Amino acid sequence: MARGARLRAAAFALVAASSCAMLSFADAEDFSPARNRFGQPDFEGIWQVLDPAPHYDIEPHGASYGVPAGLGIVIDPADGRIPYTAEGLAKRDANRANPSADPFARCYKPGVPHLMYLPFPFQIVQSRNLVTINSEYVHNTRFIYLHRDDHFGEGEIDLWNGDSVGRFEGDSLVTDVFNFHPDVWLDRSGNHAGGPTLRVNERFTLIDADTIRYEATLNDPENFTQPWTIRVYLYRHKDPRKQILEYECQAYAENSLGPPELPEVR
Amino acid sequence: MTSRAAARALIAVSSMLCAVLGSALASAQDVFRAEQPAGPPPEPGPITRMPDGKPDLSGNWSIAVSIGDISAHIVRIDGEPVDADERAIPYTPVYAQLRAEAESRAYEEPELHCYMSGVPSHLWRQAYSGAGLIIQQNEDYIVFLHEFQGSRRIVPLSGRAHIPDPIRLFMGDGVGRWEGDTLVIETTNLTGITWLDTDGNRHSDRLVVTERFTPINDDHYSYEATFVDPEAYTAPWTIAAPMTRGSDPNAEILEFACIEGNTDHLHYTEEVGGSSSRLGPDTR
Repeated sequence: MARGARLRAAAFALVAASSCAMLSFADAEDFSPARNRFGQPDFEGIWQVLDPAPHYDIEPHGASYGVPAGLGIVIDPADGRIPYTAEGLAKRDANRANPSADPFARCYKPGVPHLMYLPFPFQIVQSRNLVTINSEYVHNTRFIYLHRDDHFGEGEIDLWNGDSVGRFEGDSLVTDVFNFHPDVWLDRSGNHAGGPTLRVNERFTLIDADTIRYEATLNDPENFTQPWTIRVYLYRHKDPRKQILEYECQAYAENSLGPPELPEVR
Repeated sequence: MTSRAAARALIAVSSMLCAVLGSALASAQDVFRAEQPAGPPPEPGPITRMPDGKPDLSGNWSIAVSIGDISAHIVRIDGEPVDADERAIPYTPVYAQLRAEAESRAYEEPELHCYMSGVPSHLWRQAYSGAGLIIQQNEDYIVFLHEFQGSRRIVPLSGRAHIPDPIRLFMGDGVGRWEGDTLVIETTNLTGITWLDTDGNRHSDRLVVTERFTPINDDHYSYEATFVDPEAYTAPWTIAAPMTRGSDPNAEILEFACIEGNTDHLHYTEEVGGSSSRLGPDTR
């Protein structure tokens, strides 16, 4: 248990450090979000990024066939590049050489933060002790538990979307995500972040009634030389008809498995 | 047991459970249900309400329906109460035959393919970690979340019209409305793919499920579901079951990875409908 306590203490230090790091990116905000019946800032609604480019590559990239160009979403370091260690870079290159290993191509859960900038909408629903993020992509649901501030296990449990705990800090929702599967990709270009040493700290902030500024700091000394941060903006769907439908990837990929062929009965 | 060993054991158990479908799970579920105290019916009492005065169903729940054979819970057929020995789904001849062929159609079992469980059976599928069914609610939506296969329904409470007919969803298009304190949800736009239980009771994509959640007290609701499907059934039929709040308000749902690493469908021979030509992307 001593090891667990040490790890937890280290984790909190990391959370604190990365929170401070993210605050330095925050613009001065005047907007005060509405509060729900629990007194929480109200993030409920259906949200989505407008720009599909980060789904293909989160680093700056020009266009190619089927792939729109993008400025990249890495805001720290300032060069917009992921600060890979030699090991992390080698894994990125191996991924890039083997696109069939792309979890997205296999209909797998996309991981965090990738889930947040997929070209699919998601609906946020809040309860007293739970925030869920309900993505249309293969019924991925993130459970962000508010009633605890540490994680079960010490990185041995491989969860594709990680184990999320959260709290409200002022007008923001902040999370700590841990216990990742090692094979998670950040985009379709082989950029990756996963495994037992990764921690993701997210910050959701409403900058007006219809826009969330979403930031995530990724920390993993095995794969990155320093913590690094992405930022995307999430836009509220305003069409009153909008609803989360289904994209059941593997069901569509399985040839001919539809409704049953009916028996003949005289 | 160290936490590392515990974690491995949890993963091993989850994998095994994922691989063992059908009656084994049904009996496990029945054992789970049997542990619930059988006592007198719950006394009517006050309930938690939303700011607009509607019942608030937020929290963890279990609905006491066996996943094995849904017909054991039938209370009415064509609106008439039935005795225990009359509990049989009123199938049309084609769907009676389809039901009879369940064993030779084992490959069609939806869970084998990691599909969401469908309506309404996702509400009472087995729970591996603390919570089975979690309900979230606000004034506009009620959300049903279940660990098994990550099955989920987000139901608007607006009473709006259903979505266009060509759109077919594993979890259907549920639309809710309040009749006094009873939440009524009508679900349409389903597929003909999902099963009503692990025994192989079936429905067509014309199925309309109407569910009624009626409060008795804050920890007990009564649950009813009526099935109308002119292709599969000759008459509407209704099941009923008690719905009980879980004792731990912080019980959690753990990630259910199934597509990721599912090799189950590779083990099914052609005798039960298996066919390598039907496989999707490499999920090994």
